[in-house]
Amino acid sequence: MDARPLDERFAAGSEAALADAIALYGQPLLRYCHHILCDYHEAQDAVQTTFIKAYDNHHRFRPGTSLSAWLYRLAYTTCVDQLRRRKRQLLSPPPVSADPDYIGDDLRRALGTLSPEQRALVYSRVIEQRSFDALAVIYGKPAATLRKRYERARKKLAQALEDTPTGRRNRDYASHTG
Amino acid sequence: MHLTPDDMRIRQALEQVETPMYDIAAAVREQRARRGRRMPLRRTPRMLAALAAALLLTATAAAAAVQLSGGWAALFGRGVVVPAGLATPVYQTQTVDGCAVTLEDAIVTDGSVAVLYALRAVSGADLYTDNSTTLLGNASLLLDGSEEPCVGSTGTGTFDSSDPGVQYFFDTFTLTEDPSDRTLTLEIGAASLLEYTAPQAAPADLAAVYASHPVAHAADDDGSTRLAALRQQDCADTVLPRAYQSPAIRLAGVSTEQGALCVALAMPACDGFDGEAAQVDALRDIRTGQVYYGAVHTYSGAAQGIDLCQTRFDGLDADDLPYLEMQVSYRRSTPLTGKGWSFTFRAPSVPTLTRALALDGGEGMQIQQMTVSPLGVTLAGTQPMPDSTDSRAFDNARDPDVTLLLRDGAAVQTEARGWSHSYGDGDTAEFSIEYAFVTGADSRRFLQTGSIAAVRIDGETITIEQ
Repeated sequence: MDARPLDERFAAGSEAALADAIALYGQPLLRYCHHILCDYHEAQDAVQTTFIKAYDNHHRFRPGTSLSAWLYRLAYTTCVDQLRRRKRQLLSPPPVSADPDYIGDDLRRALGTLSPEQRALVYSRVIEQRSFDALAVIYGKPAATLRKRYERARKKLAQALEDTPTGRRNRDYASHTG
Repeated sequence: MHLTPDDMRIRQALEQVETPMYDIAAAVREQRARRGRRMPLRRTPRMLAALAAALLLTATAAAAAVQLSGGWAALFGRGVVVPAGLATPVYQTQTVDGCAVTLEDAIVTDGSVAVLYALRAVSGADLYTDNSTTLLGNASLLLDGSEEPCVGSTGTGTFDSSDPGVQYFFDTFTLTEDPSDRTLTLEIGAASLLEYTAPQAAPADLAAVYASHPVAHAADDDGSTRLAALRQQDCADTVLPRAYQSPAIRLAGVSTEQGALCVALAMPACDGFDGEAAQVDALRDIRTGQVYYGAVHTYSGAAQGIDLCQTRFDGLDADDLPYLEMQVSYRRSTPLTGKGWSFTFRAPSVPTLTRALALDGGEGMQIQQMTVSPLGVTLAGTQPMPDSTDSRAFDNARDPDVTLLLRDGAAVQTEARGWSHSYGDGDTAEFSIEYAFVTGADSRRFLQTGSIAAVRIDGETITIEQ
């Protein structure tokens, strides 16, 4: 067995390291892409493309740095490319496809008010609970900039959730009972 | 991390999103198999990195271009442009065991051959479903019967989004000799059907298996050492989800390894085109429902004719075993054809243009050579060796802007699609960047090199004489 750490084996182009990286990061990246694209089937494509890109460019990855951050960065750019290819403007709501994509209408509408970067930031922050320093490594932007962008996105999404039928019902219920 | 009330509300909303598990490993394997074989480029010994031309193109709508095979649009976008006379129509179809492959078109240059071919089932059956897909074997190109002149290949494949009964492939082979009007033979390996399952729960008593003979692997244990140790365990009572359909796949055992828990399956050796395999994708904590995903490693030939597929779960240990349930997925490859396909054809070659340059690409980049072919532009040169601790040193390096001006006055945009870098000794690295021609409709285009009047690189115009 090759006992080197995964990042070293991956940088060396090991097939087994690719399999290990998929096993380790694949499902989390799928969830990440799902939240950015708001389409499960497109997320499947994106995560698959991410790993193929990563393996094709394994020589670009430097061992000793974060393989996870590198993969998340690739996944993010893959999602953005995918949205561009499909002619989706950054602020338009993702279309509803015929296939189930496991996101309710209200949440879809709310997420549609955010740009892909904002969706990525919100997911990384509130679900994966990454620090802004960690996000800076992924997105290649200063932590302070990302903090401001996240705060804008949070405000926007919170408002959008509030404006959904469910949000309005909850608010009305709270005002009647409160 | 401190969550504000808004964060909490957003978190609760996002937690409603269900993302079912997906066999990413199988999908990646399948996609890479579809792209055909990647042969190493024969470069100087200093060149440690092979060319990575990632022609990752997804299916789009059906062909709009007149007189073109639908494959061009499926592979390269509805707005794909292929100039008249550039692609040589071959249109040879061979049927093997109910699978028809049609070699449709070829673009031949003085240093490469690109072929577009399609796979269809004669019965008209779909080539992919939600749980299966059809795979073609590797493709190779012979020049006058010899594989020697072919020094590299890249490939891409896609299903026609409007027709699951056809799959298109586009492979590009790099040659050391001009193949013009010489005998070209495209050989394609046999087809197989890959079927896969979603992960299925396997309610085995992992704690009892481990307790029967606790095993702790050393990090450098090879497959046979691991399998020999696990064979001391009692797995007889463990029944896997497809024990009836796939009786040869069984639990090999449960072990620990340096702060991690490992669960392994043993199965007959499989070459990927004929046989079946399985893996433990995850462990689910039955108390909390939390799912832990592991890192899978297959030890081929751990014993005579046996592969060991072991999944490692960092952060779990033997004390967790009573509460963990395996999630196991299966895949089965079945040969569809008893042999592959072989097409022989000839075509005239289109010249490529190569120019020595001395352009400053900025940030220390020196652009020394430009090659223009009907398939795209390649720039080569040197750039400073990156800081070895920076994982994105080359990613952050800018790609020079490349635009083509045609003799009819039109401008053609390009997109960088493939990069390679050599990591030799010294302060400079050699680079090669491949650009594809694109149209405004996010589609790819191809060009007759004779139609190109000039190439503009970062504002510097290089005129091409007729």
